Amino acid sequence: MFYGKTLGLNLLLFSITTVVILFLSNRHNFKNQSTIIFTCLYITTGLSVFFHDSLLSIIANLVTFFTLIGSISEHKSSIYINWLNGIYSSVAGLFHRNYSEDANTQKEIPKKDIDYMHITKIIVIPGAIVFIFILLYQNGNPLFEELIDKIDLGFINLQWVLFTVLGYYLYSNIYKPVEVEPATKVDLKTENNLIKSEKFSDLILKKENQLGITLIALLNVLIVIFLITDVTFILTNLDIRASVFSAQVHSGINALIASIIIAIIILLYVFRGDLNFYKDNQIIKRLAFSWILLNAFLILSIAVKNGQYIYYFGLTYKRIGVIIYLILTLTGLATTLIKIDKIRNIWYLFRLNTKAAFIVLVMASMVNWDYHITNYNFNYSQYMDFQYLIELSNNNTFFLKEQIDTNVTHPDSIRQIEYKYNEYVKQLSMHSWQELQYDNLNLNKE
Amino acid sequence: MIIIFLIAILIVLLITYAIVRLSISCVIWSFNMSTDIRDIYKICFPYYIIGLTGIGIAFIITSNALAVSIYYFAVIYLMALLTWRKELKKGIEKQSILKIAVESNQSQLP
Repeated sequence: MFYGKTLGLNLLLFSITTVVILFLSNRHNFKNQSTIIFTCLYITTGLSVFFHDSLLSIIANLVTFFTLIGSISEHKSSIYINWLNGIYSSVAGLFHRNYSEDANTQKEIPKKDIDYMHITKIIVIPGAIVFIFILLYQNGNPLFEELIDKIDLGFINLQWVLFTVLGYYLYSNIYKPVEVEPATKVDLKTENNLIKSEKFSDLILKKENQLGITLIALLNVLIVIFLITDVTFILTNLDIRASVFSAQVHSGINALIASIIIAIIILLYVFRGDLNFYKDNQIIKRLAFSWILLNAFLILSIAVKNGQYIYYFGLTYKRIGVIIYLILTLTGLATTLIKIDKIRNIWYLFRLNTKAAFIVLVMASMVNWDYHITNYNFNYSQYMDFQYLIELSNNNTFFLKEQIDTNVTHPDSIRQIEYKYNEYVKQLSMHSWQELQYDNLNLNKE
Repeated sequence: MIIIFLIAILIVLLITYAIVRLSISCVIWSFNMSTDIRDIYKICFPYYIIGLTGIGIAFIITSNALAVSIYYFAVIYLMALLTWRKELKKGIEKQSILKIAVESNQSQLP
């Protein structure tokens, strides 16, 4: 299904086969809500590879594969432990099941164990001797020589054999997922709530509280001043020159994103321990909440700038990356707010944020970005970099072809589109059934 | 010519085995002598094998999935698994011999 083939329908079929095998060997695990959700996400990413064969959807398919395997090995563990368990099961699940069970039960490995050396001897030694004798008899009888010459072993492809064995090995590894015991146990033991320490001291906390109030109050004032100037800038410079705008966005956005991450780190440091249980911590908590809110406004202002930049200079992967980065940062701020309010520990934050990153990855993989970038830049953007669009993957080829009659007039651009289209059609027509993509169906319709 | 080629392969395999064996021994030596091999296996084997596979896959990708690199990594992987198995087996046997020795020297034990 995969040997010598590119990815397409085969990855979706592999995803379905994996789910069927996992379901047959671990039926009880499929009653868990999380396992069902991960199964659906896994199939969905397989579908997105079929619809638009992008690198992002392939990565998302791989990540959901490990998540699903990990979730079956232990559904209560955090998502990053699911990844670890998933990778471990895929790499050495069979070995772990065969040898660590003996180790866990403190049993000796039985002497009746399969004697691989003996099996190898049974195969190799007679095989070698028979081969030598064939060579000897070949010279002794012309009829026998003719018979031997007729044997053609050219159909045996060593690479294909290795590939098939690897596929079989992967399925044997994952059919009953295993777990990395120490890491999973520690993760299951680690709760989300912060616990009051035995060293709790009002005097020390009072000083810590004063320091925190001064720091966060000053940072609040600073961010308010910055936001006023930023909003003024956005409102008064609606139609800025390209060079100014580009410099403003490139240097500004990086600095602002860094500042938000530092803000989260400062809050995590201030609320790392007993200050959460200090009776007079209302002021510092309110200041922290207002700072989080102001940081969210800062994100909004960056989003507006990025939006303007996209409007004037077109949509690109980098600009989409900024939007995704902003979504993740906003999630980070929201989870920090919940952490402070509900007195949770840093593991809670880590668990929730990795889950958010996973969801964002899966959702992003479902979008045919190349098509949307091309569509936006042709129809809505003020400026279009045609060379950038032509260098994108084949996912925008049909759309570009449609633009020839309406939006593209330059002969060189038309030639480039025609070349890209013809190459892509040639490539699609050479696809075997395993490599089929949604565009193959589109092509047949045409 | 074929003989030289076979000898070269044998030397490469021997060097590879020595490196794999040494890396596993280093993992085991980093623990106290009294630590049970089963505990070392539980703590270290998953990370060792994930790390080794990661290095192998990176090696295969950088060599543009050259057939030789795939075979070589498959051999390294099998070597590592068999060596861990051997160590585990040896450790468990040693443990059971010690247990028998302690029990036979302390006949007053219930």
